[in-house]
Amino acid sequence: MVMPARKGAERSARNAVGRMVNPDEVRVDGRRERSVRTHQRVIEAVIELVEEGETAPTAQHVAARAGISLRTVYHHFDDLTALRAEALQLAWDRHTAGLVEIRNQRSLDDRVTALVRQLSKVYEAVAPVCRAELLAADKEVSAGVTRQSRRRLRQYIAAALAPEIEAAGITGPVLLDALDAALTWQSWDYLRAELGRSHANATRTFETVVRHLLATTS
Amino acid sequence: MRHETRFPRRYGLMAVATITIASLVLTLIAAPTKAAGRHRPQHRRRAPVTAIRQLPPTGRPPAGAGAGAGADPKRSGSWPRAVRDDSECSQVVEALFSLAATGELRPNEWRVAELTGLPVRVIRHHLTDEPGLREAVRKAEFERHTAALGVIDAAASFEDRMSQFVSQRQHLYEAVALLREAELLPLPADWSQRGLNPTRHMLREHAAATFAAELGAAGRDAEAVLDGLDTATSWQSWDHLRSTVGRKPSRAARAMEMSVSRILGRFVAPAVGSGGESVCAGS
Repeated sequence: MVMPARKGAERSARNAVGRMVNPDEVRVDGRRERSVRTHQRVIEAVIELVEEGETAPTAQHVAARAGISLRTVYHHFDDLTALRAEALQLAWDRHTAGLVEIRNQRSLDDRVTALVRQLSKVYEAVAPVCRAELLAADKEVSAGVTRQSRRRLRQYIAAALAPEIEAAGITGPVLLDALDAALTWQSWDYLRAELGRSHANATRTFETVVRHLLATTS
Repeated sequence: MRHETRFPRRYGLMAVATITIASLVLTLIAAPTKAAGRHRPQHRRRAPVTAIRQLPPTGRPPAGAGAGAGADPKRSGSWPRAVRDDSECSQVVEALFSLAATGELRPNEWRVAELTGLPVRVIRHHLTDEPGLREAVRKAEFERHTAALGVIDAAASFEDRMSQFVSQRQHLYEAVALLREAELLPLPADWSQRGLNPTRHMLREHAAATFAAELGAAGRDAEAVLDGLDTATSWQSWDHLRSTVGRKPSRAARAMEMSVSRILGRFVAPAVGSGGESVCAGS
């Protein structure tokens, strides 16, 4: 007797020419793979265009860059907001995934230097995508996209400075809040874009803030 | 007799020709005068609008001119229409601000008209004039920030100044949070394209004036210390703690107090004492 579920699986395993194939082979669906690749290519096209200086790439430009039709772009994404949100998310994910772990065995001075270097690297990398008006029209979506990345960075800061935050006792969580608030992308962008500080000066400011905040606990 | 009959005919022809030529000449002379006469009143009607756009020194300043310039009655006093326009725009912005403060973040034009007493047509005109509205919002934002930040006595102790400073920032940021949620205040990205945001510049100057003694003691590090203080006490840092981390205002204020205390703590003059740390630890 064949169980219905099994029967269904066998039926789906039968390909167009009617021969039986290994059910494991069915999992590799060429059309789906192509679809995923196209989806990815569209998002990459948005990031490329933004990094080249196009602050709000249109669907036509994205389609041309990805080498697909405009219709295909809209087949994969309901609207430009959804496309831009995914592009922003991918840019953040890609750069935060490259953060190097900072071991607690290192001296505080080394960890502060390494932490600020890592953060500045991420912030400089995501700057074109974040400064572009990708989601200017939809702040809700924009906030949702960056919130996850900000949380990840908060965890990274907490891990890098864990001994000092623990040593602060009951004020530890407040200390982490202060560190986290001072080391955001917005702070970096303000120093670099609005105040016009050089990379070295902005780095020095971040290091100064961290060292001062930790001064009494180290 | 034949001569008599010919004579009047010749003169008659000449008279007709003379009259025709004269009327043609008169028509030609009169034409430009008529054209000018037709054009003159039209030109007179259009003159103020054209003049307002073409004469910025005495008329309405172009969009993007300095904050507050648009409402200067001395400058725009000669153009009642411009004054009325600015006044209406300010009324619309004030109405939007008050509605946002009561939770109405997306009011329609009828609601704004009801509050201002202006016709819906006028409200619609101002709401669709994005540059004009942005300029008015920028002005109103600057005025509100200036009013919210009182001068902190430089002679007071570091703890007192810090406490007042954090309290002022907390009230200000909580007050503008609804306006930002209503998308009434310009985006930071918009400012960075034009240079330093005037409101942010004012906030930076306020911090520098409040902690002038400590920044003076920082010596060559003063700029980096002020940059750090400025970023740690900014709206963006506050919003991060409130929106992303989900902290309550009192908890976000404690974090800001700790930042001010520790960033400036080592530069506090010994005679005044550096009790700022105890404020954080105890609260």
